[in-house]
Amino acid sequence: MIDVKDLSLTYNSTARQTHLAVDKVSFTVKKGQVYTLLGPSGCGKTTTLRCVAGLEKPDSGEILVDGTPVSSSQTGNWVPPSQRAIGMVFQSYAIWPHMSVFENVAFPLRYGPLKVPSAQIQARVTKALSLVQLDHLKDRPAPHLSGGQQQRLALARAFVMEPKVLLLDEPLSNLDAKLREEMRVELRQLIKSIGMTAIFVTHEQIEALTLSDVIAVMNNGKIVQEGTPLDIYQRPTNPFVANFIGQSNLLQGTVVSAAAGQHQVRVQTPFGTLACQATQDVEMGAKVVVSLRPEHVETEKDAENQANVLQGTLVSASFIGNAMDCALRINGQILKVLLHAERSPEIGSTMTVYASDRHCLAMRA
Amino acid sequence: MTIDAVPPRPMKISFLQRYDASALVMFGVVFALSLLIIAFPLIIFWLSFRVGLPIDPDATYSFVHYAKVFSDPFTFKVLLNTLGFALTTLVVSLAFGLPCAWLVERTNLPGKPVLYTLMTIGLLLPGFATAMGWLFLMHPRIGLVNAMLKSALGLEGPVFNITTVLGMGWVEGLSLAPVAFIMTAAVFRAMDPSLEESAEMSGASLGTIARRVTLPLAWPGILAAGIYIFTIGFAAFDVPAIIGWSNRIFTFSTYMVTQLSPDDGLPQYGPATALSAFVIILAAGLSWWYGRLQTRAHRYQVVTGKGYRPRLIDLGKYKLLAWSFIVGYFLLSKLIPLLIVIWASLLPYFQPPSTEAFALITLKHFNSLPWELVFEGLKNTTILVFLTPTVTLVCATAFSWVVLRSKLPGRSAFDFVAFLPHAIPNIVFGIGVLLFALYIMRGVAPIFGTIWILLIVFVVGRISYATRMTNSTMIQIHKDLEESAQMSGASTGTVIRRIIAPLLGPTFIYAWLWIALITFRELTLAVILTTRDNMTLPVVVWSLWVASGFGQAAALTLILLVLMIPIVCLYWWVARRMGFGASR
Repeated sequence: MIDVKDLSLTYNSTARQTHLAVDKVSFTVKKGQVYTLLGPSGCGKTTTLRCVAGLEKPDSGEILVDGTPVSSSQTGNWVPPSQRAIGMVFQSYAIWPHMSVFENVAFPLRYGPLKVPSAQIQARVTKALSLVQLDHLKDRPAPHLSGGQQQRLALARAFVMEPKVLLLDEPLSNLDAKLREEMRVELRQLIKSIGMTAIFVTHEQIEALTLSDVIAVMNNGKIVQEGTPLDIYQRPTNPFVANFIGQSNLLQGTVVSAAAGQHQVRVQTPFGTLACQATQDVEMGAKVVVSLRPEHVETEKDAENQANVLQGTLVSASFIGNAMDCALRINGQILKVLLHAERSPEIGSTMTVYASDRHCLAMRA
Repeated sequence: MTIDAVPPRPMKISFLQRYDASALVMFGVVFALSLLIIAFPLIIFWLSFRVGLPIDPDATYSFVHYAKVFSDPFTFKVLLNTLGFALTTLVVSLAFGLPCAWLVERTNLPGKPVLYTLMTIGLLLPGFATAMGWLFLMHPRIGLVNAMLKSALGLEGPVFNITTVLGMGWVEGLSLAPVAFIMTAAVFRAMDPSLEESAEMSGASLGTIARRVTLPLAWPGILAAGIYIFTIGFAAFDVPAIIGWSNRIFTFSTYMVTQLSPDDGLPQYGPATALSAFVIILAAGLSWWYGRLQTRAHRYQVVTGKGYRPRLIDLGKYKLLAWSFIVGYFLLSKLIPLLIVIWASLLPYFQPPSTEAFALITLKHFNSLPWELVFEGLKNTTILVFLTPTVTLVCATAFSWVVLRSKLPGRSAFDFVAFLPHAIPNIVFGIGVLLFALYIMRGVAPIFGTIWILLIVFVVGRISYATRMTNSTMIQIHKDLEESAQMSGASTGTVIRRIIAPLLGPTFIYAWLWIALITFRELTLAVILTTRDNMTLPVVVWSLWVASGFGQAAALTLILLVLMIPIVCLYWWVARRMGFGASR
């Protein structure tokens, strides 16, 4: 549905300094997919989204919506944002304060390229508003809505003209924590129920993991890994992704034993030699980073986790509600460990912990 | 590494791809008006070197006009008068405006909204009205104060003489004190009070704080206000015209008018343009300095934009003194001059109040007004009062959009152009428009002697103010509101009409009324460009005055003021509702 090829955009922050915001980004979003651009602020995710919208002018590259090029440096095609028929939800919601709820939603139908006959407007607006459960508020002035209601109004306005594509720029970031949690689930259900293709931009990993069919993690203007939420979380192929999605202990190491065609490797790390799973083909002697999530470090030995046994001194333990966030010092380096909340180990005591080789991921540095 | 030699083809979006019809219309408007604004000073420079009549095809170019102007001792007398007049204006306006601003922003003075309202509305009283009042008060021969003092003290000569450079500066300063007030109040309001408080905690007395902390911090802002007032004083026409003209004390503006429409002979465009060119360069230098002061003011970080609730100084028993000062100012600048104008309009010839004088009271001047001319003037003024603010605000919106919202390369240059009419004395633009009409538009469109020429110069004269207003409001409109309309499929025209214009609405109404009021009383620009066929109401007042119909001029001034009342009330109501002016 959406094809982005080799998209690049440079910002001239000052006359002499330029900043490559988007660096040859390519991705494809299939029909009906919710595709998420996830990354820290300044990684180029919003700029990429705005290029798809037509609100930014890329330096080079190509964007196709439903097979039609809307922006192409090859052919020089460029469709202005108002003609792209793409729905967009802005981070600030951008609810027009001088209009009622109804008028906000009717705007794209009245002034958009479709030019919907006024007889149909009433019905279509009401339908869109009832989908987001705002139909009872349609005559209210838009500024009189709560944050969550404004967010749903912005959504109704974005899909009322039944666009092929919906763009969502951090739509949940202005909501309070509780509401954000509810809306995460609701938003996905809503998008799925209308069957719309969506690109979603966020810096919150939990939102990305809950909402998406496919996640693309971005850093420094590039997509560093693309995959399903489960993939991204369980099989990061890149130290940045391993640390950005969830938490990871990252250990520098050297491959000391590897068999061709096999991903079982042994890596020399400051904690000793660990049995690891390589995420790519690695050779003997290759420098790698081993990622081990704190929640995958266990204190009870079982059949699977005895591959790696580590011993260290407990240097800190803080209670974080559902768990104990602990730090072990092993050979002068810190290993973060998540323990059961009921356990209250003594600071300074020696502990033995276990980690399965499945959870020690060796990736190219 | 594979060979990746072919660099990606850069994206080229043509102008027509990016901008739709309404955007192009706005570019057109902005470009055309900018061209005009630049053309007017340029035409002055051009003609200051040109020797020959407008229609003369083989004119030559030389410095003779400059030589003529600057070899004439009268020119230097005029410049010296203007300088003295502008400086007196500056001192007087700051002497009244600065204390009022300090009282409003830094003390617990009661009745602040009243002071704000009086100051804002006081700005609207035309200069020629108060000038008439002061002339009737302190004219060396017929002046009321002088006559009374002479008879009371048995003196020979007059005590006060308003027909001097100092006298005119006093009157102009009184009428510009609200400008000083509004500008310096903004400085005091934006100042971080913790700077004063920390000085107080160090044990400094109130006087020391004011001298060592408050004033030095406010200094760049005060100086900026000073330069602005000096520029207005330099180019002022009303007061020097009413008070100085008949006594042959000329300042820059009045001298220009005598050169352009002398009582005898042909207009002296050559010397007038040469002197104007000199003043443009002077004004450019002054605004460059002003700009530097502004940047310095920013560097001081006095303006923080944070919402402070400054601790106010308790005036205590001095409240009465403060209000006496304020009331004194309003008596001197507004009330007494106005009462005298009323008195003058009711007497067959001017004389001090007495039993005989009261017996003579008559409506003769009102009845004998040249009503046909008055109605003609009223008609023209009414048309201009509606068209000027409308056209100005439409143009200002286009300017703001181009400067703030379009991606046109070099767009900030348009903002600079829109600021030019603020920096260069208005009368120079008047002369530029006049010459533009005479030399360039002659064969194309005969706008000279129509109200369209007045509309052009009024719009140019107000575009700086209007763009400041639309800019500051448009900056506050979140860009997402426009972009979401774009994403909804709206064209640029629809975005302007349905999103920007409604959100700018309150600013539009406020600025519209203000420009309408300023247009209603505008004399300076009109006097240069009017002929018998496009007189405005203030010009009719002026022509009556020149023809020595002092009583009639006073009568028509009063009628003019009464006509202003409804718009002033509307303006006041809007300003209050919007929280402009009457702050806190």
